[in-house]
Amino acid sequence: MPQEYLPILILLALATGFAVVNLGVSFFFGCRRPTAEKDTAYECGIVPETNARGRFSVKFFLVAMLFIVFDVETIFLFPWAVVFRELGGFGLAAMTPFMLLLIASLIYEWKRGALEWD
Amino acid sequence: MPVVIPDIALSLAATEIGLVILICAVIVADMFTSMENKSLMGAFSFFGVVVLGFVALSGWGGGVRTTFSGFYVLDNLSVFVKVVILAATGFTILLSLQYAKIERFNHGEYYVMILFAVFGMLVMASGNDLVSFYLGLETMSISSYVLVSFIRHDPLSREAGLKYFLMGAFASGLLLYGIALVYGLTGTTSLLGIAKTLGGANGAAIGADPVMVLALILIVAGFGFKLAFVPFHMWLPDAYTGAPTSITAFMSVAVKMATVAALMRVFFIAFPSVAGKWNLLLWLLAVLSMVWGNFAAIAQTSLKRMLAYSSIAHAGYVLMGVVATSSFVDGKVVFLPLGVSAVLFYLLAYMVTNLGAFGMLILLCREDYRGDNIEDWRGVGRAHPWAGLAFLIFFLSLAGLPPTAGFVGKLFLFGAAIQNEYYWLAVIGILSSAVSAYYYFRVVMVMYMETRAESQPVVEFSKAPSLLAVLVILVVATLFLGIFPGGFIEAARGSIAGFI
Repeated sequence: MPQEYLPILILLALATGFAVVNLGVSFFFGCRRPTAEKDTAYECGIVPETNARGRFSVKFFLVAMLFIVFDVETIFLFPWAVVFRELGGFGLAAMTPFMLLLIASLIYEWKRGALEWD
Repeated sequence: MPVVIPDIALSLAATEIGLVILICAVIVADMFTSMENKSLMGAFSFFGVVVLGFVALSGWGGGVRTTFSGFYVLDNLSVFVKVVILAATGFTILLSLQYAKIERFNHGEYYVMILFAVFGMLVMASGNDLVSFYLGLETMSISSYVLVSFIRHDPLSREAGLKYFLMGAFASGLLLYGIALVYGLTGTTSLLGIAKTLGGANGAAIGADPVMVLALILIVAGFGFKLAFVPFHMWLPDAYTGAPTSITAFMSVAVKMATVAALMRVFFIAFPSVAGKWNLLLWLLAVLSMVWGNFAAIAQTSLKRMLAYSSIAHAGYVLMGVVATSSFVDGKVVFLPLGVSAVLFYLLAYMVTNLGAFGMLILLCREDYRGDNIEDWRGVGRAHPWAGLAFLIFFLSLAGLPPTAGFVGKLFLFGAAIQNEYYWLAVIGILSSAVSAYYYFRVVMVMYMETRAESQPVVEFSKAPSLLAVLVILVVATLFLGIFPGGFIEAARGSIAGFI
């Protein structure tokens, strides 16, 4: 049984080796001329405005949590949509309760005020 | 490419499906109810639970039926457990209606979380696979963490919730690690599949593997934490004392019922061939819980905390019944049904008794006065004879004296232990039970023989009709189970059908 895992081990070694070799080569042979511009935090090429360690409102966490819940649940819809025709009536009957559960939770968070910013 | 649609008999999960519909209805209805009318959600949930109780009851006597590819089983055992859990839920909701207003946590979410916990319990009662059982356990546990910390303005309740959460999450981890090891050894999580592998050609070798022992220890420890067996009990006194009293009552009966049912299903169905190993561990936990639970309860001054310790001891008695089910003939295990039926009857008796005892605490509770210390009950027995009598009956039942439910329950448990030749277990159980009589009757003594101090506030009981009705029903039930236990014993016996 263990030899079945050999490809995973090889892939692991390759991935580690690739990272180590690339970083190592640039560390030992690259030339470094640091400037203030180069030392700033890299964020998609946009010039950063403030320190990255600033504080921000706890409301973001609520939004993030709601996003995760609905986002993960929507993922279930994709495989369903792919085989929708083959599943026929059974697929529709199986997904309707799922959607109703989502709607119930949407009503709850909406009425509870979780979507209000202030 | 054609899609193979599995054959799913949804009607077997009718109770759970109905419960989910009820939960969604309560969630949505709660959003359109004003703050003053939140008790309506409780009434709504109560009637839903009553209907679901009858739905669950209709599954009785249908034999062993599985669905969801064997993940889910409906047999008499699961029906019995589900009906008792739903009854306990109904009582808890009625106990809460007034109490939630007094302690200022009267939110619709309170009832929703109770129903979520019940959903987990029902799944546990029917879990025929380590995965579906674990899923139910987590649904139940996570809802319980929230419920324990529901009095948000009370630091004790918040602390209790955090402690319970940390210990509970740790216990879930242990249990899951044990399940993973079992899967690694046997290649399946299905209870029947595990039993088949362990009883098959390589079964003896797998059973003797030290990893199997480790897996069993982890699973026993996980159950031990969830059911608070000594030495895994340290979270329980704090969690039970800090939680709203209605939730303490709910957890001590419903959570225990569901977890014990799952414990019996996992060990009796999946691991009969290694019974010698886990039975010894459970024997040890039962003895420690009975002895330590009862001795620690003596020292308490808070009545709620005393009942918390006593619930550890009662979990020990229940575990004694589980242990006494296994009988070893020439190293081969034979399961004798008397133990399981004794456990089920005892859990039923304990449900009506303990809900009643905690209900008495709620009866005394007011906005400015919690009344959960022993000395708060000073002189209550003489000033209020009916309340004193009710509490006396619950204490008689907890101590296991006739003519109450607790007496018949203990009689069966000790009878099962003696019949299956677990003499030491029975002796330790009876002796520790005698110890328990001391601290129960100390409260009775305080109620009847001491006079109320000048500084103590005048006793003023809650007049909520729902609370009074529940207490009357529970007193009657405690006496009825003690005097006419026949029908319920038959039901407990009948739930073994097709199980072991």
